[in-house]
Parts: sequence; C-alpha cells; structure tokens
Amino acid sequence: MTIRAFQGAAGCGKTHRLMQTLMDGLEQRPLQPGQRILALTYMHGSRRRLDGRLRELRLAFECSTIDSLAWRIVSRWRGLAEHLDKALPAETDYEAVCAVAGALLEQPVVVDWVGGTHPIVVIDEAQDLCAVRLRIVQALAARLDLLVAADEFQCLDETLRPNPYCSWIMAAAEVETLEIPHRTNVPALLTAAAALRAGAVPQSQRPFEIRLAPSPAFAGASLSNQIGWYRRGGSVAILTPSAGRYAKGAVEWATLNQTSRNQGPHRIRWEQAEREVVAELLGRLTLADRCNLAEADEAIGKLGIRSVIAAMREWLSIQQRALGRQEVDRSEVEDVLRRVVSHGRRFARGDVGGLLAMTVHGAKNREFDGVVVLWPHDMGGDDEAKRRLLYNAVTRAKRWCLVLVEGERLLNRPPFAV
Amino acid sequence: MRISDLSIENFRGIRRGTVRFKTHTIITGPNNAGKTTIIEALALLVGRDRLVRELTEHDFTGADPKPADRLRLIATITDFDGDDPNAHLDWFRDGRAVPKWLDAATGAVHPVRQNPAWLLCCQIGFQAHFDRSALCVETARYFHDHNHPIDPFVEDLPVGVPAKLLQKVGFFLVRASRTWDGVLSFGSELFRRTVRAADGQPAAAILSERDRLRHPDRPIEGDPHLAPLVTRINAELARFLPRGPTLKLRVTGTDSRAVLDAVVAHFSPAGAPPIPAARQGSGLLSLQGLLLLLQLGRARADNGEGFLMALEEPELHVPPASQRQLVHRIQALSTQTITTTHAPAVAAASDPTALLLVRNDNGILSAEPLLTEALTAATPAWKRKLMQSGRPDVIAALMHDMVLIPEGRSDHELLRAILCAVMLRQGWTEDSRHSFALEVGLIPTVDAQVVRTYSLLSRLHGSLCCLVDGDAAGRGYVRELRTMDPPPAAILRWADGWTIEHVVGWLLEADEAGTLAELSYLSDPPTSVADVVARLAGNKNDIVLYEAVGEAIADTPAGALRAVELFAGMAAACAGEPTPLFGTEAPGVRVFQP
Repeated sequence: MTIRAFQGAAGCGKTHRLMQTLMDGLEQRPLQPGQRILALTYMHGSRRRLDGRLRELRLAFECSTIDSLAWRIVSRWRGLAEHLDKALPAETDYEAVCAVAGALLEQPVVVDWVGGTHPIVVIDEAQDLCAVRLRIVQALAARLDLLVAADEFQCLDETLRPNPYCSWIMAAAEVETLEIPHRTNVPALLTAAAALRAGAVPQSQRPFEIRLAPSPAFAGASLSNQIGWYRRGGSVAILTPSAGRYAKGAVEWATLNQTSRNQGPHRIRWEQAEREVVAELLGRLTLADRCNLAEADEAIGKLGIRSVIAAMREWLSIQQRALGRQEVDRSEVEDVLRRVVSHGRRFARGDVGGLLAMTVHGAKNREFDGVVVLWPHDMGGDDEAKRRLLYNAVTRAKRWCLVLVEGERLLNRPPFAV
Repeated sequence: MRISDLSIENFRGIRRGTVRFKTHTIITGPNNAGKTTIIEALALLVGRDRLVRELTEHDFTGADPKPADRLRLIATITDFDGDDPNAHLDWFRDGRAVPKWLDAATGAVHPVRQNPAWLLCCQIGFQAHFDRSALCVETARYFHDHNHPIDPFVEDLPVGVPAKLLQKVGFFLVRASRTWDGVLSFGSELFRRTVRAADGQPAAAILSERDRLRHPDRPIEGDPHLAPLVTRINAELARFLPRGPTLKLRVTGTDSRAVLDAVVAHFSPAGAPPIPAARQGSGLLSLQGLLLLLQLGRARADNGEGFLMALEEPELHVPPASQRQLVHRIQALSTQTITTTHAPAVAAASDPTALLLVRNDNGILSAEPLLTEALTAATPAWKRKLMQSGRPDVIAALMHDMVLIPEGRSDHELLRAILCAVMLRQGWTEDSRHSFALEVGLIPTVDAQVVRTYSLLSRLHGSLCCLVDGDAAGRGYVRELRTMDPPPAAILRWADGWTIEHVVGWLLEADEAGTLAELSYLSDPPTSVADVVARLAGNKNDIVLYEAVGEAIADTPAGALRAVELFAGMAAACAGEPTPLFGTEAPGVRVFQP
C-alpha cells in the first residue's frame, strides 16, 4: 500500500538504498512466520545479483523474475483466468503470460493471496519494464508495500521511450533521488559517465581512454596489453554492444596470440545469452522428426553440457516410466531443451571470476574492476541509444575503462562526438 | 474445518465416484461396496504420512496399472470461519492453496464467489502411478488448483501440501482391524499425544515413584533367601575391582522414562482388586481405546484444532445397547466424524440425511444419503413412518443385492413371519439356486404406497423390485410403475384376484390337515384354510396370528417345502430369471401362477 521509490545514476547505490530501506521497514514491522520478501527483476542477470544482496541480509525472501512470477500466478489461478475469459498461454510466450497475470493480479483476491506470503515487494531496474510487466507491478503496488529502484537512462530498449515505469512512478509516488556515486571515485570515469548522461562529449583521459582500433587484430592486441598492464588480479569484462565480427575477432585474437609487448594470450570466456546457448545446442542436436527413446538418448548425450544432458535424460526417462512412451518428436525435445536451458540459467549462481566477454545488455547491473569496450561499425539504434549503451558499459567499471573503436568515422559521431 | 467432498478415480474397486460428507456422516453398504476404500482415500489425502500404507499395484483398479494410469483423489475442505481467505492465510496464500468456492447444493467448485451461500474451500489432490521399472508406486499430494488435468509425475511438481497444515485437520483413523491392548500406556503414541494435548504429564507422581523405586523399603537384594548369594557376588566382584560397586536389584531402570514405560493400565471392578487391561474382554479394550481417542479430540477442540475421526465399524466388540451411545459420544467430541458400519442399529441412529448408502456398480461408486431432506411435520405420514420406525428395516433391506417393495404392510409382515419360521427350522443346506433371505431385502411399505416408496428409494439401489396384488389396484400400480424412469428391475404381481392372504392359503393347502392341526392350539381354532385366509384378511397386522401361521407352515414338511419354493421363485423372478411359479405378463412384469 506504500511505495518507496528511488532513482539515480549508475553506481549511486540504488540497490544498497533499497536493502537499507527494506531492513528499516522490517525493524518496525517484522515478517510473520511463513512470510517472505518478494524480489523481482526483469532479467535473470539482475535477479542473480539481487538474490546475492538479499542473501547477505539473512532474510526470508524469494527472488524471481517477473516472468516466472507471472507464470506461477497464471498456472495456479487458471480457473479464475478462465472465468475472466483469458486463455492459458504457453509458458514460453512470456508477454502473453504477463498480460494474463496482470489481469489476474488486478483482482484483489489474487494480489491478497500473493501478499499473504509476500507483504513487501522489492523491484530493481524497474526502467526495463514494458507496459505489460509494469501492469503486474502496478497491481501489486495497489495492495502491497513496494520498494522500487530505477534509472531511466539505463533503459536500453528504444521502444520504452518515454519510459512507462518512470511516467507512472512520478505520478504515483514521491521519488527519492540518489546523487552520490559509490561504485567508483575515479574522476575520469565519473566525468565520462556524467558527460554521456548529459549528451556531451566524454573526454578520453586516464584511466578512461577512447582509442581507435581499426581491425579485430589491432583491438585484440590493445585489449591484451591493457589487461596485462592494468588487471592486477581484479575482475575484467570485455563488453560490446553487439557480439559481431569485430568483437568476436578481437577476443579470439587475444586468446590465441601474444602481443609485441609480450602480453597474452589470455583465457577469455564468452558469456552467452540464453538465446545463443539454445541456438548452439539446437545446432548440435542430430535427431529425426520422430525417433525412438534410444535414438533420442544418444542425441541428447552428444549435447556436450553435462547439466543439460542430465536434465534432458531425466525428462526422457519420465516419458518412459510415467507415460509408457516408446517414441518422441524432435519438436518436443527442442522445447524441453529450451526449458532446461532457461531453468538452468535461472538456478545458475553469480560470476565465477576471470575474464569474461559479453554484451552490454548481459552486463547490466553488474560491476567489474576493469572494462574494455569493443565498439564496432555494425550497430543499429539512434544516437540516444548509443549514448545509453556506452554509458551502461562505462559505468560497469570501478577502476579503469578502455573503449576501442573500430573506425575513425565512429569517433566523429555520438556518443563520441555531439 | 471439514471435508465436504471426496472424489475418487481408479482406486481399488472404485473406478470413479464422489462422496459428499456432512459433519457427522455414517456410511453403510454391502461388503466390497467401497466403505473402507473411502476411508483409505481420506487417509491418503489428509492423513499423516505414517497413516498411509505403501501403495502397490493392488491399489489401482484392475491391479495391473500401465505407466500412464493414475490413481487420483481430490478432497474438498470447507468450513473456514467467516469464509474469508484473508483470515486463513495459513491455507490461502502464495505457496499454499488458491481459494475456491463450493456450491454445497451441487458439489460444483467455482473460482469466484457468485452466491453468498457458497463456501470457501481448499482442494487437496493426490495422485499415484506405478513405476514398472522401479516396481514401486510414486505418489504426490498437492494443492488442487483447477480442474484441468495435471500430471505431477511429468510436469513440474505442483505445490505440495505441508504436513504442518494437515495437522490442523487432525485426521484420526480407527481401522476395523484394530488392536487396542497396550493403548492406555506410555508406549502407545496415541496415549502420549493425548497426555501432551491435555497437558497431563503426571511428572510429580512419576518422579516420586522413580525415587521410591530407587530406594525401596525392602530391597530385593536384601531378601534373606537371596542375600547370601548377593554377598558372595559382591565379594567376588571386590577381588577384581577394589572399592567396586555392589549389586542392587531394582524393579525398573530407575529413570522416569523406565517408570513411564513400566506403567500398565488396570481396571478394577467395584470392590475387587485391579485386573490388567490385557486380561479384560475385548469389549472393554475397545471402549478404552475409543474413549482415549475422544479425550484427544476434546483436548484438540479446546485448543481450537480440528479433530476428524474416521471410524470403521464402531459396533465391533461393543454391546448393541452401547453402540448408539458410543457413536453419539464420538460425534459430540469431534469436529467431524466419518463412520462406516454394518450394524443397522448404528446406521438407523444417524440423521437420515447424513447416512450414506454406498454401492458399487461395476466400479462406479455411488454414495447417496438415505434422505435428501430432513423429515418434518409436513412430511406425509407414510414417509415418516417408513423412515422413522421402519428405518432399520429399510436400511437392512437396502444392503441386499435385490430389494423388494411389497404393496402393503401385511405382505411384509406375513412374508417375514413365514420366512423367519422356515429359516429357523431349516438345516444348513440350501438346495435352491436363489436364497431369498440372502439376496432379497424386504421393505416395510406403509399404507400401500408402493409407487411412492419406489420413487423414494430408486435413487438408492440399482435392483429395486415391486410386489403388488392381483386386483384392479395392483394392475394400476403395475401400469404406473412401468412408466417410471427407471422402471423397477422387476414387478411381481400375485395371481388374478389374489392377495398375500391367498398365497398364504395356498401354502397352507400344501397340507391342509397338518397345518390346521398345528393351529388348533389357538383359543378359537380355524376350521379351514378359507377360514384362516378370511381371518388374515380381516385382522390386518395381527402379528400373533401371522407368526402362528408362519410356524404352522414351517412345521409341516409339505408346507415348508412349498414355502421354500415360493421364496426361491420370488428371488428368481426378482432376478429376472425363469421360474415356473412366475409367468411373464409383459417385459419386466411377472405374475404368480400357483
């Protein structure tokens, strides 16, 4: 019934403030037996990080994505959904599931049912919520206590302009603005971030540098040297707006070669998005449209990821033991694979350290000591989108950031020029 | 809290069926109809895990479950105070049940309350499947959210029901195969729970008894006969262990645990020394067990917890006079009772709307209340009489494979008097194929309401037959009965112009001289069979005369033989089989042809 909302630039401690406010509130009104905090995010990456923060507080909580909450509501309240003339969407039709969940949560009985277990809802990165997911948040806020944090400028989705969440929250609540940066106190990083936010030109000055690296090999050597000289045992991420030819080539070069300055080769792991993992595994799945269980088992065994193989073999065994099936369809196996990968990532925990390459989207809400940004030619989006992408990438860094740009031409355009 | 509805699919002999429970339900029915299966289904749904036996293939209908076969049970729990889900968050919230609404009039469950009479309900589901490779039955107990099929063994497991929540239901099961000895001892879990619930741990008495046992006034080792041996042992011991311990003999382990374990219940008849419970007759044992359970029920009720007692055959080991009282006591001290019984006296003592008659037609279970509405002053006299004073007979009759509704009271009384006399004199061998007494139950019809009685009872039994006179009224009843939906399984009609009295005359005529001689002891002895028939017709319900006539028939060999033939013929006619005594007048209509 009460909303506490926070906004502020990247690294200003929004999540920290969320946790602090949460604990203060709980001191006055502790959780009852059986009650848990419900923490929601849009993406799995943010969910993992929020989960880690909540774990430190030693609270009873449940951290999930909005989509998985929506699926739970829809599947359990299917009877009411039908009464409201809503058809049951497929679990993987996320938008449709959220739409039905929103309609259900607008029924007081449903939101009270959620509130019976979760009197307080915490939401981070709310700027990423599209209208259909925002509707879920609005319905929860109508009857439960809501703690929410967002930064409009960190929204990378061009379709969310103007930002639905921000428009709503400004009218619905008093929003507290956080202004003091906590992630880094490196002046060069702070000035660059501020410039990008303001639509101004970011100044290249150590330890924030913008450099031309006109080929993948050039970029690979530059990032290799940078890592060799500046890493000092800290965490490093290689970020790119799009994992295309330029970024892939640069990372590959750095993993295979040593530079003229005797740096490298470095072991760098690409952190794949769920979509990419699925695509790769589907490519590896050699299976006829319809096959017997032994054939399916053999094909599953060749997928290469142990946890995926185990989960899929378990599914196959259930088909035989609980349903008495002799054959399965390829399309079914594909669906199971998608679900297994999705659930697997849902249960995956934190970063393992070391050198990681990933997209800017994949790095959202995370922080690293050093960041190398690979900025290629081949990217879409308007100027504003590019500024936001670079801002998101730069603000992941705590100590240093190197931006490698593929072409001279790019340096004369936003976000590097006005 | 109360279990309102139970639905069963593919469980033992029940392929499909639903049962609607009242606060105090009595279930009766023939053997193998499914009474115990209903109780076991409840144990699987709301019982503590320990209550549930391990399931095997035999628990699936047909005993050979295929991988995709499922045993499915659903219980609907209602009577949540105020019917407000927000006031019962331990039942209705995320991670627990989804609130739904039961229309008690129809048994339908709705997602939204559209009628204030609908009750808030929580549905619990149970499924089992047989794993043919592991050779074991897998089970799942979960909140049943909606009526779309879900398979907990294939899809993501639905939300499980926590044991803590089921404790609130407080399901207690007393099986027919019960052994009560040792129940009033601290070794019995039931006793310990009852003591705990009643906050009745006798700590002071136990500690004082422990101390007395540690320091007895006359220690056993000090007995003059034993003391020399003990002294020698102590001396021997001292050789090996200087300053070693000395031997003491104590009755128990001398800690409070051992004292508790050693407690044995005794009962003392007035003025006589107490006798241990195990040496009592099973009647007393049975009573003490039930009484103990009731104390647990009372303690739970005092704490605001539920106490759902499922009791099989309370009549076991309990004298008939106490049976009704026992059932009433159990009902008074429980939040809900579900009792199965074979005793018509127990069944008849129940509220007729809460008495369920179960039957099983090829795996389809039906559990219908004896009456759908309570008897009131406005109820017609025939119905009140049939269902009040006639209730034990009605219930007993409905337990048979076939049920015969005679046109009038005198048919019932005369047939019963003759049957009774014949059976008492009959040996152990039964040579005819059909045994009327075993297979056909006789309804004590009132006021010639054969048609209305049929329509009142047709809901309760699949093989109802009617018996009417051979007069114009009887023919009218035949016509009326044949138009009913469903029509009786068979309609029996006496020969043209005949009533039951003529049939009795026909039986007496088997040996007119012999039967009249048997009746000669009457103060005003009849002079002929026609005289007897006239007297029977003139003095309806003269029970003394009925019994005299019945005995006269049974005591003359020719009469007894003819009576046995008549009953066998009636049983065959009810079963729709050919018999020379009953011709076929129209489909389903059989006419007596002497």
